[in-house]
Amino acid sequence: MIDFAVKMQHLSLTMLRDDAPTASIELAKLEAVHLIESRDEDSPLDDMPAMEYQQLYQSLNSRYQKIAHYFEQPINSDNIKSEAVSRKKLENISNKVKTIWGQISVLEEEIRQSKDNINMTHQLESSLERFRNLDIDLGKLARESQFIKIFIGTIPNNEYDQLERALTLANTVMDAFHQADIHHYVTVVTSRDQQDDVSEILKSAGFHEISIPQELHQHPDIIRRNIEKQLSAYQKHVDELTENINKVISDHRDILFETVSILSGAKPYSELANALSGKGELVYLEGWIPEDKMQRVNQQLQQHLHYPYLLNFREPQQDELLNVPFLEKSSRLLKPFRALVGQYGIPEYSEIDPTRLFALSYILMFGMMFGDIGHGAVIILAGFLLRKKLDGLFTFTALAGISSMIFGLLYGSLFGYEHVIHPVWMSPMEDPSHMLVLALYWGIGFLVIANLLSIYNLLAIGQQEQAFFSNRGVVGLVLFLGSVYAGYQYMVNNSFGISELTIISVPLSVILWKHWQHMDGSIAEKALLILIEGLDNMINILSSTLSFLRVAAFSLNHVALALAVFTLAGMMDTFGHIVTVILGNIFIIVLEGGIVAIQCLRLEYYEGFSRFFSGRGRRFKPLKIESVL
Amino acid sequence: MGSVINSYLSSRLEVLASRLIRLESLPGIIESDLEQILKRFGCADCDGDTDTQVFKIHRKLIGKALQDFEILFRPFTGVERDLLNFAVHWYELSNLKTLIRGKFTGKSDIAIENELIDLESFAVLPLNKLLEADDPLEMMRLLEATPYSSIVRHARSIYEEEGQNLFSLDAAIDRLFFNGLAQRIRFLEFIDQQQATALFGSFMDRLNLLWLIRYRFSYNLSPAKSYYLLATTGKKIHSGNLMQLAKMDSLAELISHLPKPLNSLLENMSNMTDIENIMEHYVLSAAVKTLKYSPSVISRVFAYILIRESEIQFLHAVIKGKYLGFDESLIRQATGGMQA
Repeated sequence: MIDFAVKMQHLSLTMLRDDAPTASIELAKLEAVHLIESRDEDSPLDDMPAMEYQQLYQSLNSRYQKIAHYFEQPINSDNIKSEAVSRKKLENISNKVKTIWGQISVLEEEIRQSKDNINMTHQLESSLERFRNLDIDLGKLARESQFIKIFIGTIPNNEYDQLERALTLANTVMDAFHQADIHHYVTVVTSRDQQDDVSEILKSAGFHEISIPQELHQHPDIIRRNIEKQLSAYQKHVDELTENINKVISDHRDILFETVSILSGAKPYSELANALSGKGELVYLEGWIPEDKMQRVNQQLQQHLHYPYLLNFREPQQDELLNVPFLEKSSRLLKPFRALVGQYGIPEYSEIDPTRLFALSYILMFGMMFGDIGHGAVIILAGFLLRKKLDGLFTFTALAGISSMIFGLLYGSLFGYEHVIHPVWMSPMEDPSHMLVLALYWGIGFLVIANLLSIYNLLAIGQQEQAFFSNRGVVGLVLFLGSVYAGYQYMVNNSFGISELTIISVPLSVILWKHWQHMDGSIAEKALLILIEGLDNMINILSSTLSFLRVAAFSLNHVALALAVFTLAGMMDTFGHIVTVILGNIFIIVLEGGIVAIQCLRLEYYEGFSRFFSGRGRRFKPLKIESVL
Repeated sequence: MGSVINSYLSSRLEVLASRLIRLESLPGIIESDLEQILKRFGCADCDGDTDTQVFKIHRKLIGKALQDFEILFRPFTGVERDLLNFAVHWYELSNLKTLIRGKFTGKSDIAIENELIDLESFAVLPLNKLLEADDPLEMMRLLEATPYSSIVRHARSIYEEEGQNLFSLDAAIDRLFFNGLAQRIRFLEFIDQQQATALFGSFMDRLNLLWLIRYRFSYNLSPAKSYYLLATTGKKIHSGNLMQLAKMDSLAELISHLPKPLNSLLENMSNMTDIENIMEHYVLSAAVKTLKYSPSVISRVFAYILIRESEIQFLHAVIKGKYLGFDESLIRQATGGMQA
């Protein structure tokens, strides 16, 4: 029932530099080593021999990805073999790919220019209309003058005011004859001696000159035809350029195919760069490896490395435990639950893996809160139909659905009908108080287990004092059980005497005394904080336990909702009745089912995980061969 | 903003303000050893050659400031949050300038990367992608897909006409930023708007005056071009003043036409460093006053950002001076604004 992380060993590998790329590939093939990136600053092996290789790899990868953006069909990577790639080989292919990208980049820039031209032509089209607003002789504007220079064009709206004021300093007049969404259409009139200065200012302002179209003197149809002709010419050019890019790619398909293979082979050594230190010809790396893969790694290295090497394994030391990665034992069934646990955090290496417990308690609570044979079956069916869209969803829904069906059988509930089948146990509505009491017992059991797990985890990470004296430790468990006992005595026997008070106050005092010892500040300040802390502890115990009443509340709610649906359906004719029952059941499954799923998660996270699970661990991420496609 | 959040922010500001370098300790910092300074400001682990070290330290100081800003910004929402986030984009624009300058001048990607500031949660620019661009044209195509697309056309025209100076692009970027900031201040509630505008105005007075002097008398630009490159108007020097000042033919004439009290503050000054120091002091006085007494919390946060930025510049100048082996009097002169 309780799982632990896969046992890890510390690996250190010292080898000759020439062997490092091969070692990276062999380790990556086994997917067995989680690299340690941080290195000792004072180590004599303070070079980082693979850094340049990594940069080379990254720039090659970046260029390849930019080119791959244009692929009409992805390169087939089925036959790609991952082999160690020498730096020279990486450099060679990098130069080739750089040349290919250079050609494409030039074409890309031409496409941009052509697209700019298309935009400008569209602008020209609309500006023809604008020029009609100019109450001047355009012929005069078009002619060069000896003393005056006229600029006509657009400037971004946000530049207009500042530009207008600046131009007055150059004895220049600017007038807007039209304002569009992002541009002002302007005429700027200046003297010939100010022309250069004004031209430079206009450039800084993002001015775009519009030549006065000769077409203005022509028939509107001719103008339109000319513009269309121009636009289609630009578009044709864009198409040709795109075609040229495709041609560049197809002409160099062999190189690009080789690049994929080289990138796959070079990736492990590139990833190794941050973990590999060295001096001269000697290199060194460290990592974490699952115990059962140690022998295999040694064999693989023996088989493939050309020079002698030194491979050491050892147990993790106490001060390293926080950094040892967490690798769970694989289980297909638990996969969707692992994802939910992962949302909260990754367990530390020495902590208990809570996934199995989480799965069991979650499924049980879901069934208790949403017990219905019909609804459970629908959940299973929905999960089955959607299984391809969400990985692992079917396992999750199947288990939740089965639990729902089992509790439906116990409650005698089928699509909300409480009297169609006889309950194996009882309908929740028969005795709501009993249901609430049972939910409380469930909660107490849940919290005791959470507390026990917390004690184990605290001991495992070396926090003995916390394990015994904190509210998450042994004394905390005593306080919780004492509070439950005192509560029981008070509620059932209406007694709260010395024994009840003692069983609460003694553990509480121990917890608070430990807190007091670790506090800074004046006595009054400490006393106030201790008082608040004490209150908080007690309120927390009460609220956490009562929180589980929702398990019963939702089972009652489920019946109540069904009753509401049947009451509504009872007011309808036969057809209306059927439709209301169907829609009502869908409503219950979607809305209440969703809420119950979230409430279960809430109980697991806040009442369970927050008590025993730090979530500060790091996942085991082995060096592995991955496709770059 | 609720009174609880106001009190919280005031306490936070008090704590952060108490950590600012005290005025009386500035001479002591200049007289300290480089090692002591680096240790005191948490930069002892910065290694590399001189340039790399100075950049690393600068980045580290900014990184620490950004962490504090993030804490201060958290309780703000809506237009206030927008204003503060936008103010921090100053550092992003600095990255953008570094990137454009680096790519245009053919610097290596590693050299450019070393000069970039890590903005973490404040970052908008896809810096890695931009860095990976093989040439400036590709970088500009990538920039077109970012919120800074409006400067691309300008950058492109500068790139195509190699003769142009990059300072005009810097000026365009700065103008875009300060106009954006002024626009956001206008959206604040009345008191906040009034207080923030006054502080921002003092800042713009300094910036516009210094740039106007440089454009007119160092770069010899025409009055029109000089005026155009300036950002929005300030507290004392309004648009009309700036237009008039841009027409002046000498520094003395320009200073004599400045509005009060700037004309008397800068009277008889002919050295740019002295003018910079006086104007820096002019802004810092306004910021310190705002930080201490302003009823507007957002203006106080804004003042804190300005003072913190000055502190970073001060430390950067001192550390750089120490690395380059300048004597203390020279460093004192260069950082005079903070001490004036």
